[in-house]
Amino acid sequence: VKTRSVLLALTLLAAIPNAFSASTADAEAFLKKSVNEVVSIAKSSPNSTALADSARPLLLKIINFDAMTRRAVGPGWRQFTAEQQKEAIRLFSTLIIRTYSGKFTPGELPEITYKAANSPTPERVEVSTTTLYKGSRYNVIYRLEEIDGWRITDVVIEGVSMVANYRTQFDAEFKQGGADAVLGALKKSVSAP
Amino acid sequence: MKKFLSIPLVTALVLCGLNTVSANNPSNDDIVIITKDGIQPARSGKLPKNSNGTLFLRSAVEPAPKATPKPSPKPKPTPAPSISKPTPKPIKPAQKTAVESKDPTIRIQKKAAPAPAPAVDDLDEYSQVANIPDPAEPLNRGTFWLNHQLYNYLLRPVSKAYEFILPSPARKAIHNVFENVEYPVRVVNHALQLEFKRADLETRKFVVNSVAGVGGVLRVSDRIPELANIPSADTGQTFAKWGIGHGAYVVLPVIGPRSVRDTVGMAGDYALNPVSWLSYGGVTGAAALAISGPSAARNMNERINLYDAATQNAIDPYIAVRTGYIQYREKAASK
Repeated sequence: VKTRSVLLALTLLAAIPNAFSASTADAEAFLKKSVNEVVSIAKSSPNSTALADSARPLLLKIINFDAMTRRAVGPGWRQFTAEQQKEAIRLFSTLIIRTYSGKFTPGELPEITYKAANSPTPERVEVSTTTLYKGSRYNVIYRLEEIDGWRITDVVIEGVSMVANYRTQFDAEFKQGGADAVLGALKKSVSAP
Repeated sequence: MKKFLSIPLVTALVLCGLNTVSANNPSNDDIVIITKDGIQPARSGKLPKNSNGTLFLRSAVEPAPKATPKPSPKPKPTPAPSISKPTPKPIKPAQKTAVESKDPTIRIQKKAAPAPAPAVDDLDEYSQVANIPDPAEPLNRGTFWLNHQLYNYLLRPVSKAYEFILPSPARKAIHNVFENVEYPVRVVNHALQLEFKRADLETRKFVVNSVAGVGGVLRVSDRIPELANIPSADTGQTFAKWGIGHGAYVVLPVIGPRSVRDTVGMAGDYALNPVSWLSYGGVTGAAALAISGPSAARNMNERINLYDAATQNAIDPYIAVRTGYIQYREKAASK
């Protein structure tokens, strides 16, 4: 009985890395495809505003803005009504799309080199890349999660996590005035030029 | 080892019991000695010749396995789990004491079913990412506001003018020259971080760019894969690697966000930067300024871009810069 159980354990152990690498490969393939699609939209965009508009439907598909907004707000999210949550997600996604398309200069396309991907948990994958843009090299890590298929849930540029960056800002707002303050601040930022 | 440790304890227990032994006059079979082969009955109630052992009462010795140095408060009898049932239930605290017992099969069970870790709040995942004490926040916000005005109304136009006056290749050449000259900052800090391989690569990069790249104008090293991507090094980062924490967050006039540690580190970088040696080396103030001016301008340009990236679309630009700075520095220190 003992030998059999040891064998079983070994087989299981051997199977686990395979399962991991399969999902890691899926996530990587998804990321590469998505990034290529965004780059091809960028190629035909005359400016960053046009890019924000034309890339929006695609970005809404490849990025999980629900998880992003939730985590950027933190535990205070539970005190948002369903309506408020919906509104926050809508505003936050607009802000993020604008932030990222704002970094784009027409005619300059990033050169992305994909490096090692790792899987901290079975449903999460982090893909590290080196992005060469306008002569500078950036380390960009994409965090993906399997939520209705693979989706991007955070982008970490040179160590700076987008979600973490907003988390500290929303925290301050939430402490001052709860969900209303967060939504007010979001509206203000979205309507700012 | 445990067994031997338990012997004195058992001895003590038995010594107390021996009083009753003599009173009750036990039969010979009830008196035992402990040998390396286990418990042996002391035939005839006496110790064998040349033995320095002790006589024990059987009743006192037999339950010895239970008398571990740390007797568990509730030594429940723990039936060895049959291996054909590999789905152990989560161990309850009461059962945990039983796990401490000597039964090796139970230890396996403990490993197979670790106590479930306290569920991490999915919403709170990012709470600890970028925390830094900011005791001087009101003052820092004031300085931040002043810097903002300075960037927008003075440095941005200067930077634009610099971009306008000098074509991109010239700007790149100037950037490269100054970066090359700052070699001592990097090599000394690599060495202080005990990163000798990087110090060596950095030296090769310096030689290649200085010689083949005509005094650093061209960054030839970019074409050599192992020299293209050497992690940067500065004094603040060295402090971080030595285990020195950030300390508080400060916003310095003109310079911008720093932690106390990195502010001190800046002094080290300044001392190691050849451009700052000029004014001490017999070069007149004006000449030193003429040389360091373009260096400042190229940094300014970079800094304004960085500042814009951090503050555009921010909810609170002050916090956005603070969080971004800390995360960026953490990453630099972890390389």
